[in-house]
Amino acid sequence: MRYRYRPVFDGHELIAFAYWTGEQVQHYYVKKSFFVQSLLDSHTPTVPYQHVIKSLDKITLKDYPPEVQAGVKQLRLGQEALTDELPQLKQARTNQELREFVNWFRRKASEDYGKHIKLLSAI
Amino acid sequence: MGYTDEELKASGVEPENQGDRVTTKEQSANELDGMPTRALQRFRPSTILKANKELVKQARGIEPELLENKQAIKDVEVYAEALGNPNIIDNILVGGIEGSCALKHELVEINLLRKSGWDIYDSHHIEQIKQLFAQSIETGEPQNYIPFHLQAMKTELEYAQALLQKKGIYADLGMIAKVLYHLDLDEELFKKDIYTSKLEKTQLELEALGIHYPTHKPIKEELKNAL
Repeated sequence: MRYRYRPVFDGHELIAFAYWTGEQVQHYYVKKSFFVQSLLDSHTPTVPYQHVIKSLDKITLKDYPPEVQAGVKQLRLGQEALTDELPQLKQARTNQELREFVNWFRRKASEDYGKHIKLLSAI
Repeated sequence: MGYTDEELKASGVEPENQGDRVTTKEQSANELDGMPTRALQRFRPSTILKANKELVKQARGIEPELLENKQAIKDVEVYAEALGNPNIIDNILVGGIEGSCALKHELVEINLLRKSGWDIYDSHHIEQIKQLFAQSIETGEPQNYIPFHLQAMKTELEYAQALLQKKGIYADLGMIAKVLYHLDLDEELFKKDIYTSKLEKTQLELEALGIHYPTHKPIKEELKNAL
């Protein structure tokens, strides 16, 4: 399956990848500290739908959760691209497959956008 | 930890014999204005201790041994408020094994922080602790930033395992984590191709503890019900 994706920047800093799954825009946040508050406590389920946006083309700052809006100074979208490499999350059945999903974004951030981000050795 | 009698007197507060004195109607809000946070906290009734009376009636009381030190319970409430995370208290107020384990985690974490020289009543220290959590999440290397949290997590999981064993239920720590932290909900989202950072973060923490996470392994009903 081909995914469309766009890097999302705050000024020049890569903060996320927005990707189109065919139904909704999803995000992989490179800058995870946006969510420190909600992630501090492992007991509480997160509300990922807050991060879901309907269109990849028309993302604006107001589409993002409050913690992101508060942390971003200048939202800027990079060029849209296509990939066949991004593993489908719904097909991931092992820790290794989940790791590959995360590492795709981490690798992309490192290799294509110069963000030094460590690959997960194992999840 | 707490104010000395001299410090309390200097701030206009009479020293107390017990840490959970309830603010009376006669003590107006104005009377408490200007009081240092640490002293003010001591006048608040404990949310956890108050709620536990109702939980006991529902047969979901917090483990009594965890409630023996009232000042420690107060400290948990102060820590949750200082972190700006009311969910910590909400999780405890679920009661039963789940709530007890959530409380155990915080008690251990605060204790470990103190042993490392952190003061949860110091706003500067709290900011630094929050930064450690942020760096842990940013780097994906919890072992380098939040060992106090990891140790508390492990203690919490082992505590849950021990309480379950008393009920004749055995589960490994990874499965207990899945149920305790409701990660099955995240897995359901993954099946819909929706990614959540919570599962990534928790798995990294479990990995740092050497605990295998059982991805997509079904949860036994008796385990879910027992927690």
